Amino acid sequence: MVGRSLREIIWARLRRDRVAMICLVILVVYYLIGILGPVVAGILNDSPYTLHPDLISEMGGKPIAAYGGISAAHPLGVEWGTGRDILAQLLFGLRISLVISTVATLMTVVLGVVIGIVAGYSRGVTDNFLGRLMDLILAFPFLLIVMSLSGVLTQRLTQLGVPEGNASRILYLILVMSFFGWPYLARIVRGQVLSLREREFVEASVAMGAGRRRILFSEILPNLWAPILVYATLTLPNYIGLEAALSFLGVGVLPPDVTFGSMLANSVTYVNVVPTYLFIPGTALVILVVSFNLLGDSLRDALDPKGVH
Amino acid sequence: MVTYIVRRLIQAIPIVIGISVISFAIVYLTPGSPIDKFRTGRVSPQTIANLIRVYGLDQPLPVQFVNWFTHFWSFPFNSTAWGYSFTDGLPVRDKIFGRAPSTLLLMGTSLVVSMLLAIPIGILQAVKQYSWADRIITTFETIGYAMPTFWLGLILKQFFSVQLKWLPLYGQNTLGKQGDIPDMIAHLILPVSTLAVVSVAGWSRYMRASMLEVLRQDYVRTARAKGLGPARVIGRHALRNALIPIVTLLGLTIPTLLSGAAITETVFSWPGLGWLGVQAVGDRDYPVVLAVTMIGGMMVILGNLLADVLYGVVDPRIHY
Repeated sequence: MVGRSLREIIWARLRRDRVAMICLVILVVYYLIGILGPVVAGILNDSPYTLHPDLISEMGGKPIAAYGGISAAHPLGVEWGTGRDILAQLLFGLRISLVISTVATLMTVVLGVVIGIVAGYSRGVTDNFLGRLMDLILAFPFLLIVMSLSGVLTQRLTQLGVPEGNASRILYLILVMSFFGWPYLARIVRGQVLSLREREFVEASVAMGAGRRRILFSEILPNLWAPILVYATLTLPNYIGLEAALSFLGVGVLPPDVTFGSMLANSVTYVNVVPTYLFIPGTALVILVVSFNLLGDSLRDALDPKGVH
Repeated sequence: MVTYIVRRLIQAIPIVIGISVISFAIVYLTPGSPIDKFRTGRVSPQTIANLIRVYGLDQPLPVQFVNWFTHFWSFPFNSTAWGYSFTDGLPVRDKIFGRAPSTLLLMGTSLVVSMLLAIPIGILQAVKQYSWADRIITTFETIGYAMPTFWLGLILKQFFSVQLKWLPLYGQNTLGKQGDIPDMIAHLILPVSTLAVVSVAGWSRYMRASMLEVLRQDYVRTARAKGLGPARVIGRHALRNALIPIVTLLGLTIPTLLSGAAITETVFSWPGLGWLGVQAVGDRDYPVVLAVTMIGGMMVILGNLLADVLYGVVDPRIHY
């Protein structure tokens, strides 16, 4: 029997999981579109910033063709009032949605892991303080706080040199999501560290005179990447949904830029007349979120040492 | 048990104070003042100065905080404890107490409906693991869990209210039909369904996992070996232990009974606390925002405590 590294074993398990592979392919496609969105839109010879006043009625701006202006040139229709192409909006919107959710997830993971490891390893006063801090953050009615703060903090960000407009709005979303998100991961990490710190390899490292930072990040951290990876895979889709919910409540990216969330939020006004505005970005979002969730579940199964080999 | 609860309540005090200080700071540091809407040029500067004094907005911030915080806790006896709403001048306490029953009704109904669906579905999936039924239900759960609440709500509304015209569009009662029970039930169906889809999707997964865990245990095998029928093994022996994690979930969900579901309530214009909070943020109605934030935070703390206590009650292996 050939020895295999943990990574090889897990990859082999994932390879056999048909659902996981399909989801992985879908996600790769989504990310490629996110990165290449402008190129794809260029091939389609359209952009979400191009207005098509000829495709909407002069009075009220209703798209002339049926189902929100669906035609050969605009297969998903055009926007009410501006005639902007929905497909192009979707391609560009995906990019901002992915940037927000991916960066916010990375920040959540860094914060959650560092604070969780420190809390679990230090115990005593530090642990107690960090524990209460997490309780405090988790007790806040997230949506209301994020709505109340959006004005003042977005302004503060522009004062700090972030370009005005959507750049600071996007940064604000990333910051609040990671600020309110890290305690969940920190709790998981802390729990794991509590048992890891009693293990022999940590004791050996202490006996050999390793410093605290070395023990935390070179000895303990490598043992944590399984739960961290699973958590990150399940957090990212949550953030995509959260961005949509916040857009609906009026916190988010402003036109002419779009995200999945802002497209959904804008569709609310016209949903009774043109339901496709609601269905198209919603379906694109649900496919993305489902793929992430299923991949996370598969990853959890593959990383479970009790699982069948 | 009692000492444990007391200890937990004492531990909660700094968190309550923390929530109060931060909510207060957040709300009062936002730019713009509730007085701004009177600065139209038609209101005399004298009147504006009076309004600022009446609302106490001329005091230093720490003084405003202490006034507000000490006042806040007199709410059981004092209808002005939470101040007056900036939008309509009504006492915030009465406004919130007026909205609370609607939230309780909506969240309570959806909690009961979700539990009644999620538990049997989870059991069925665990007992028939990897069957077609399990796979199909899992697929629906995955999709249900992935849908943004407001999107699902809007779609249900679009389909059942706008297209089919079977159910009312928004609100708790048709105008002029206050207190009409059948009318209210018709209004409840869509918001409850929206909330239930998401929670059933999550909870039945827990129930399934928890039931599978229990069914693997030795005592269940023993029960089968001594000749008990499947209904008795699952219904009596396995179910009680499988419900333990669900009880924790229940404890964590109870706070939402009072703090409400901001998004669902907003989609259906359901006159509960969640929608009130969203409206208040939009109107810069500070006293209402503060009260809703405080109630939300308090409910989370109580919910965590309740979850831990319930866990000890249903699982005698746990000692405090």
